[in-house]
Amino acid sequence: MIDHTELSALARRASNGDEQAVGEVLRRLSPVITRTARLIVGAGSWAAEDAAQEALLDVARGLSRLENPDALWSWALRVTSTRAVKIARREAFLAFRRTSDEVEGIAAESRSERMQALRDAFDRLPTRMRAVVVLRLYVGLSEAETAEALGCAVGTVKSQLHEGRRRLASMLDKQGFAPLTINAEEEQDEQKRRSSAADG
Amino acid sequence: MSRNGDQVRLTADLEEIQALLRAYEGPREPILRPRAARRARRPIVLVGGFAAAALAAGILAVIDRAGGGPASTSRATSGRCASTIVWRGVTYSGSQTNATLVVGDRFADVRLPTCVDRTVNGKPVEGDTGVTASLVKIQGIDPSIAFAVAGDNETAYIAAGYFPQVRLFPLHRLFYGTDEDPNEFDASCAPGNGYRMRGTLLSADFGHLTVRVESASGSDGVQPGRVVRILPDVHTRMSPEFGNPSRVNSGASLGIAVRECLPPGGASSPKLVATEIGP
Repeated sequence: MIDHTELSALARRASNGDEQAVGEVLRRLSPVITRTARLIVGAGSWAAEDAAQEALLDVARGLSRLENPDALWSWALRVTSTRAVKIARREAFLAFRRTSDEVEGIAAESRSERMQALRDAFDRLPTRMRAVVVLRLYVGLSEAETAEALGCAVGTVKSQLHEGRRRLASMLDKQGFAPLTINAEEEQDEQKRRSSAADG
Repeated sequence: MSRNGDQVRLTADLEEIQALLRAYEGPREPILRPRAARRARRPIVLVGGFAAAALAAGILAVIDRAGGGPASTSRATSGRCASTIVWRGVTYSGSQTNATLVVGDRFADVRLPTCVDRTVNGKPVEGDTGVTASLVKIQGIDPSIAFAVAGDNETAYIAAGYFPQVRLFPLHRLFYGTDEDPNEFDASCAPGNGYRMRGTLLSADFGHLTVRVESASGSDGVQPGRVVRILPDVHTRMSPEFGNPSRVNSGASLGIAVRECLPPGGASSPKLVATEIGP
């Protein structure tokens, strides 16, 4: 569990050039930065591992220029998401990720056909949609924080997450796996949101 | 699909998606490409100081166009930025430590070409033909086991066949900082079935053993002829017959007790962690 008060204090020291604090900040943020970048790009590929390393480097480079140490957490995730989305798009890695570019251990064969199908479906989501899903459901950012990290509107986060879940369900359904959640209320909320956005 | 007259669409279950993401979250730090093990091994230390990182990238990179002296050569072990040095016919893999090494006398010189992706101030260096570097002893360590490169006291090169993960390895604490790490059975990996196997060691680079299985008892998944990757960790017991510090050589016939390490969610194959290694 990240202690944000302590993290802010460390960020202040790091932004003032305290190398020990820089190291400590990176040590504490490494798991979330690494795994966020990895999941956005696609766990199991070297491109994802490269993205994780580059995201860590981006954060390390930017620490000295951090204007608001209290915003370290969201800033680091924004930097990470930006780097991961950029690499995911550049690599167009989905076409070859499980062939020669496989990282042993993470890309190991699934032991559950359903999980494998879900993973394949997740990999086929557009990059930004994957980023929304990862930030919301894995990192646990709020809709507002996710929007800030990805530089988009809160409404976009809502709709991307909903659309992501719908596509995952659809792809699983097509492969014969019993879904999922049937949530009429949620669907109605989404339709209302769309109508209101269209009216606005 | 309808329910109570409302037209609804299916959406994937949030908890199921979360389980998927947790299952593929992987280790806490980036994994290094096989031939770039030094960078990937300790990225936090590496990025902690950019001057040190630049120095390390420049000095430690060894690529396949490297030259070498009569007693020492260097070679790439993977694409961009190799991390091994071959000295007197033995491959040494470089890995960053968590503390500064105390180094001693120089004992050999090697030619270390720079990485193809080496950068200074963010720009690649053109026409760089590499540098001559000196191999130096690490205090208290026989250079046949491990050495350092002059100018970088945070990377130790370990001879193949030794396992710094094992608690009794003399540099163990320098790498891991504690006698409790690395423990493969952490929160992201639960203990599974344990069984014994016999096999031939194909390689023993820093980090794991690659073994061709000859026989296995108690496991349906590990069949004779299969090549498996086995991870030692801090709890692995090495037979005294391997010496102190323990060393296993490629081609050796080994008896290994392993325990499966199961990632959450059952999404991927278990890792095999050695609990005991003997002849």
